[in-house]
Amino acid sequence: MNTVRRFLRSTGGLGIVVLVLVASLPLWFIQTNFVLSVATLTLIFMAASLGWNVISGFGGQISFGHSIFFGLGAYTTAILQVHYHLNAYLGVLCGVVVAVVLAVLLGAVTLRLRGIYFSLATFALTLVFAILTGHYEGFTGGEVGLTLPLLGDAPGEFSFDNKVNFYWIAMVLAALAFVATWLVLRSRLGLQLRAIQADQEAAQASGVLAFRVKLTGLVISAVPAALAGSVYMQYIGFIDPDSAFGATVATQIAVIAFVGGAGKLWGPVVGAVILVPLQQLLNSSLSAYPAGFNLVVYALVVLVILWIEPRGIMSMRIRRRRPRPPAGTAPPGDPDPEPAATVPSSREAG
Amino acid sequence: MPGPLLRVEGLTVRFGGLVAVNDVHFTVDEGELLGIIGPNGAGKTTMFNAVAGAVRPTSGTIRIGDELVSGKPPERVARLGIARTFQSVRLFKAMTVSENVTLSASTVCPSMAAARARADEVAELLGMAALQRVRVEELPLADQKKVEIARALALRPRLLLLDEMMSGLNQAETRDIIGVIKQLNGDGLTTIVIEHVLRVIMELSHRVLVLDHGVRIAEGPPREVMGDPRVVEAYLGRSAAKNLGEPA
Repeated sequence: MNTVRRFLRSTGGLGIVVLVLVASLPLWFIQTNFVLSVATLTLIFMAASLGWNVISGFGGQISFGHSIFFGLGAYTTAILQVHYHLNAYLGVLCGVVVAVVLAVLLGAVTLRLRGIYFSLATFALTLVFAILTGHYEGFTGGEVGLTLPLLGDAPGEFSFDNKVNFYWIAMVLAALAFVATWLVLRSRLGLQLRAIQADQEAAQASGVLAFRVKLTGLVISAVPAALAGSVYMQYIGFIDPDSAFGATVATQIAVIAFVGGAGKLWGPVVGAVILVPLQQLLNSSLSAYPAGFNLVVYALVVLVILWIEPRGIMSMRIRRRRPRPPAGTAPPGDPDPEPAATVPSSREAG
Repeated sequence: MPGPLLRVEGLTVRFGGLVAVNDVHFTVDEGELLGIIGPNGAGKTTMFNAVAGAVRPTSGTIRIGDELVSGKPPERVARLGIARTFQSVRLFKAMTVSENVTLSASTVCPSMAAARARADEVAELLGMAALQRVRVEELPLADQKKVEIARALALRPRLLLLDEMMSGLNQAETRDIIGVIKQLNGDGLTTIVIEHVLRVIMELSHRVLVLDHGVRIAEGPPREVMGDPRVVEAYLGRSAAKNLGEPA
């Protein structure tokens, strides 16, 4: 009970209720396929971005390669279903296992790099995965991709005629990713990741085993991304190298968090709620214009938001609130586990 | 007095062609407070960095008790009981005082609850209990320096390395920090202090080690060392040392 109370207090319990209401709004009023699809994709990318936030937002190791885990989740599920007729839920589980193993292997190499070098390495690796999946046609379907067999309404095989079911599954996934992120933020791991982001040398001088902490963070962050990829695969029913490992997915997972507020608990939530619907709306409404015009508009919106507040939308709100914090009270919704108070110097304080 | 806690033997640190620390030997006894002085560029901070594991020695050995620490990474050295502060304050500025100290404690305590209790204990010791929930970026420099000490203490160190704690502080703040260092050393914490303010070194140290151009040029009780012509020469130049050596 205490944990639930702490969760509601430190995340802004009202915020959660509002989020659930807003997220489920489309289903109450406008049950068109488009709205349902946008809402489902929003929740899927929200989950992936929440995972990204653990290693990149809290830990400061900016990854442009989380599409690797997204893609591994999607491809593993698809390959096991298409080639080995494995149950889809087992396929999802295998996708997570593969992503975790790859996170350990890739992290063991890339996490020895710092700053932009780590980011470039992760970006390069996702493109390598795109090339590899395009190359092994017999296994991955090559550039054409893999299409799931049409099973009709088979809940036991993660296949539903009514797409609302995917919406609810995506909702559960995003909620679980949010709770997991909150738990990490409050834990020893979260504190140590934040210290590494602030100053790795000072963190090491305080005894933080920086490499081990970063590797643990990367592994944890890979799980929601892999699950998001698996659910995406089941929902769309198709995957190809570009939609799994392409530059667009690679950057989208990170950009969602940057726009919402990287390192803020609510950052990926806010970013996904704004950017995914925007992207889908632009795709559909600007289809008459030259190819890529929708992406230009999308990029401009992202640039304007980051120009106004480089630390993301969540920092706009927090910066406005901070000048007069009531002493000793926790600002609701502030992701920091121990919100600050304002007190004079220690000699005055005694 | 018990035997040496820290033994530094033949420590040399080179950066390419530059020899920053050259074949330095010294020991620090349990409970002792050693002051290290020297002009700018003497190699004091490099030697600190080597002891703390931030710089890998080119040659020589560093031991705390029977444990060899030279060559070990800084996080292992910290866990072996050598805690440090930095010349320029390097706190996690967006975090609160409590989080900064809990972070250190979390690396040596079995649980976060124990780490938080340790952080409370240290804050109480340094008179900072009321500041626990303040973000360190909002604190004055003197309090930030105390938080750095608190963060080091949270590791339950056997040896505390303090690098130029008094720089940027006014007289009252300097006295405050001197009081803290004396209190900790009085409680038995072995301490090494690097300091430019000689008055502080004279007041604090049981023994002083002087470095110049990476070489140990003098070592001994503070008053004796301050009168050593080699030390005067290193600080004030050859003519001053000559004058000091001549009877009035």
